[in-house]
Amino acid sequence: MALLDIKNLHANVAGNKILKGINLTINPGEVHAIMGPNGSGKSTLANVLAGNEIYEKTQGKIQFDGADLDDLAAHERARAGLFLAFQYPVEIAGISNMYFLKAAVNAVREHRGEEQLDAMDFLDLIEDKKQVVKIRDDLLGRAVNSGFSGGEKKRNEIFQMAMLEPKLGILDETDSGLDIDALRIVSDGVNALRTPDRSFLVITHYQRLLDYIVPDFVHVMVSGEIVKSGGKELALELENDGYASWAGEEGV
Amino acid sequence: MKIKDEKSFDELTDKEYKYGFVTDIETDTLPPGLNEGIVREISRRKEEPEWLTEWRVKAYHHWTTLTPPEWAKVEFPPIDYQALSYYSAPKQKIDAPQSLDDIDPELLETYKKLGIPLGEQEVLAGVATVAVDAVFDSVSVATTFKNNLEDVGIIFGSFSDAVKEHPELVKKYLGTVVPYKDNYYATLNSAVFSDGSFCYIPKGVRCPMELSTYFRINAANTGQFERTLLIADEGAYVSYLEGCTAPQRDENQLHAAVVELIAHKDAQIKYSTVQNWYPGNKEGKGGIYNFVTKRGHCRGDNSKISWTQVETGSAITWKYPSCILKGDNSVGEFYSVAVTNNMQQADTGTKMVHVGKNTRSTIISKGISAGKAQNTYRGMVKVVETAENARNYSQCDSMLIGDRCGAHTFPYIDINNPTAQVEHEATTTKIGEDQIFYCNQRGLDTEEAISLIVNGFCKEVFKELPMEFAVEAQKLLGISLEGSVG
Amino acid sequence: MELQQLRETAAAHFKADGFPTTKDERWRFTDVSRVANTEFSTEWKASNLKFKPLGDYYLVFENGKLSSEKSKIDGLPAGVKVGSIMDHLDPRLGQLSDSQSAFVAANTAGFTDGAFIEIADGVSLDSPIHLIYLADLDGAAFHVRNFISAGKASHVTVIEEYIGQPNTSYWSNAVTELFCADHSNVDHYKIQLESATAFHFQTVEAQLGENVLFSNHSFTLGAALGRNDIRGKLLGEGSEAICNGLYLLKDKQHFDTHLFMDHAVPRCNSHELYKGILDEKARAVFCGRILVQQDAQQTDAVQSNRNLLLSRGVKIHSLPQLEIYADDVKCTHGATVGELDEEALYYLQTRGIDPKQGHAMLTYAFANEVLDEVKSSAVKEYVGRLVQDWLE
Repeated sequence: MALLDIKNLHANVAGNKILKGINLTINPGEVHAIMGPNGSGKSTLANVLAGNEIYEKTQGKIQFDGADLDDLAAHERARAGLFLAFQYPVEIAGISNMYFLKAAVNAVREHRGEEQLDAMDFLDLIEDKKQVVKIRDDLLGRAVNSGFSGGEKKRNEIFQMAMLEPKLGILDETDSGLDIDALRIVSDGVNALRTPDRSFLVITHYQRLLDYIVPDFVHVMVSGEIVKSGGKELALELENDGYASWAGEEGV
Repeated sequence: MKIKDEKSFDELTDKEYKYGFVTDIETDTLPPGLNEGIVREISRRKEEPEWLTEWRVKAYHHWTTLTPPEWAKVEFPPIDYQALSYYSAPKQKIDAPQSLDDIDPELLETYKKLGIPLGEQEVLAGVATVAVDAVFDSVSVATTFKNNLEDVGIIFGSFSDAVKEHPELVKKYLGTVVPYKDNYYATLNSAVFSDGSFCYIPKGVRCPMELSTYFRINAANTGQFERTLLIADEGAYVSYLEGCTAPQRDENQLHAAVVELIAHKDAQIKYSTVQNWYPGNKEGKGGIYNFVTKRGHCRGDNSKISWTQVETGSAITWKYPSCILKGDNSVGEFYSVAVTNNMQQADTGTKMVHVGKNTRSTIISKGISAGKAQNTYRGMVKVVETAENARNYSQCDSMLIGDRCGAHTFPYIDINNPTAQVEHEATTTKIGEDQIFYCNQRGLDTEEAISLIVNGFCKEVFKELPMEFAVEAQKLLGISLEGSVG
Repeated sequence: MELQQLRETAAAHFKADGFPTTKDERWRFTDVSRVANTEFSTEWKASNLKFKPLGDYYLVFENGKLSSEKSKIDGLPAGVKVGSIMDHLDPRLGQLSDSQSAFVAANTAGFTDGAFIEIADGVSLDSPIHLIYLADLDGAAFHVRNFISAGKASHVTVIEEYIGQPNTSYWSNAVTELFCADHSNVDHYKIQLESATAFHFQTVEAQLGENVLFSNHSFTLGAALGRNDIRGKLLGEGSEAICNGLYLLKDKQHFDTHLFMDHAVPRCNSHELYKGILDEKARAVFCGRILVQQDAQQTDAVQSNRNLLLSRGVKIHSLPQLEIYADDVKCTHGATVGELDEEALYYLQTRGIDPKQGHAMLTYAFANEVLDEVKSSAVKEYVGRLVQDWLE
């Protein structure tokens, strides 16, 4: 059974039609990349999947792990195993990363019928997972994303993904604003989290990221539609030819 | 790294005011009304010495010349002071309880529901580490650990007992911080106070445990007027906790307490309050009027008084725990979280009066306003001519949840010495939609997200609370903000 | 309303309420009984005081009366009317929200002259209009009323300067009403150099339409006892109001500033920076109130009051106030009181600057933050020199 099955998805933002009939199926363990120019609707797709209410789904059906996403609020989707690494991680002053994560981890564990972690177990888990993106201890003690550099924020997103162990990880332009070293660390982190069951949807503007996170499938998105799908070689084609050849009648 | 217990989130679903039960108990209540006769009768029933009776009567006569203050940003219909009853005591089997066996089992049951450790068996089991004086309606019903404390010379118990057993101490200190003429509600309290807690920590003694008073209003149509007097002698240290609950009733109930703290040379007092009086229902019916005068006097050099309060209850809160920093190098602190939801109103803050040299004060106030509530910070920092090198730092932050509530900040800065350094900052924020969505995406539902963000907002204050109170405070915050969003 | 009716209503208010007392919360720290208990004469004479115009156009008032000879308004572009308020009565006169203040009421009931400025829609005036009020008549009271109307998308700079003869005692009681239509840009300055034995009270109230840029800068050096009431009403979206001020007080001067910024509509900004330097036995009161009404979402309001105390015997009462009924707002206020930074003084000393000079430098630097915000170079230069003279 597919992990994520999107059928004819249409969505609006502030009354503007952004997504115009997206179809996409992701099976367990697969890595899909969505590429496209700015404004093509990539981030909208990520946010619709995560349940951001600013984005209005107007048509279509999304099945995630056997459930209809329409029935699930944002936090329920997260608990069900859908994780979004934000393009712009939100700063929350006054709450330490650790505290925030413990609340989130225990919310997810409760949903899975697992026991709540006490402070000691939680610290063990942190020790275990922090290797993934080589996150520094002092970042863990700081308020969520407050005063983090761009690279630290993105690393923190992947670290959170490692902690929450989702079924599907959606990376929304995780590469934007990263230098090459940070890109490598983040990509290594994602690769370390790849398992036969866990799937990823990697949204990016540039092929570069896909040198590090090698996808099974690449989709090209233009003006709210997937205009071409193929294997990883498609990303290279794009790198050489740009998006123009898929822009269709609307032009980009 | 320290991680706090956030079990509190699970309790968010607990929608009701869970302390709203009424205890069915026989009481000995004076008829409603207030006159000199009633004041004398209260004093007579409590077998007080003549000086105290006369002090009460003086206060009563002064009160009759006063009008209720109107400057606070709170609105309520005038209180009919003649319709209130000024004394309500649970009837006890024998005159004075000698041990827990002598206390009405209904009362013990009440305190059990409230989670107050009263049974001394718990001491043996090593569960409780807090000495509690519990005040039910107007009288103190039990004090645990009294004997343990006596071993180190600490006097801790009901105000009435102190009047009988240590009249010289009571006479020496009563009214020296909050004089009977101080303000409308304090004057009323001076006339009719029925009981309260008294605590004396002798020279050089560090109180080995947290001391706690638990206030409970039970009877209908009674005012509760306790009086707390706490003295830390030279070099002493004490941490004192105060908790409050009341049954859910449709009428408003008046609570006009007075707390006086005295810190002698090198002494330290830490006074923490978690106030969770019944706030009234969503439409603003019922609830406690919490009009309290709290003041600490840093009398000796190098003394320190620290107020921490978490105010989530009451229909109206009017209180300004203050410090008079008389001793050189003395320190005053005020840490406050005030939460108002639905129709609640709070006008709260502090006064820091710098008199001695090198005196320092810190004010951290966090106001959270939701529903149609109004939350006002009002604080004064006064530096008199003699206060060389006084320092004050104030930070007042407001958080608004929803667009029908109000948050107001009224600091008064009054400086009469050029060497003073005073800094005041205030900000206003709301909880952002993007923050809630981010938390949702990490598996937290909206109420959990708000609770998390609000707790983060209040962190600087919570860290000042003793551990078990901090947990309690976090829970209360969640419950108080139930249904404030969406 | 007819002027006569306006005057009668105001006189009735004043008669009924009289001068405020310190029991009135808004006057808690400023006792005006010295004004209330003084009998003022009704004589008039021309003034001998000198003045220096800060713009091409100026009106000169001698002891409360406009002097056509000393004024210069020729060459004004079309669409700009400048003259005596007695010749131009606008129907909006007296629409002040604070009309019941005793000082405003006294002014309305008894004003005898003042400036009238009207800028037509779309007209931009490059040179400032300088209003000069000379006072050298002992025992007199001057009730001056100014009315300024800036049309849509107009641009004007108005400077009010109050100059007093030293050792003269009088009561200057001014009111200025400003109407700023949509998209206008109005810069209003006030330089107060009254006699150190005089009383000076003024209410300035500005009503702002949409997308207005308004600034008010008040520089206070004079008067024995005085007060500025500055009130901004933000009635149209997208407007910005800046109200800055500097008060330099010594001897037994007592000066009170009451600011009130009323945000009634969404998306307006207001910024207030008030700084004070107090020496000898001076006393200052600052009360800044920001009201954000329920509809005023996305308000951005910042207020700051900073005070430098130079000697023993000074007193400062600072009351920054936020009153907020909307949730999507950014409001902050701050207040500080203190001495000069010892470390900075020491640092200057290690670089060879003697303590006295260092003191003056740091004090000037403290005041200069307000001057930095001044757009008019004429005002900046002139006030900069006044500040330096004061410090010496």
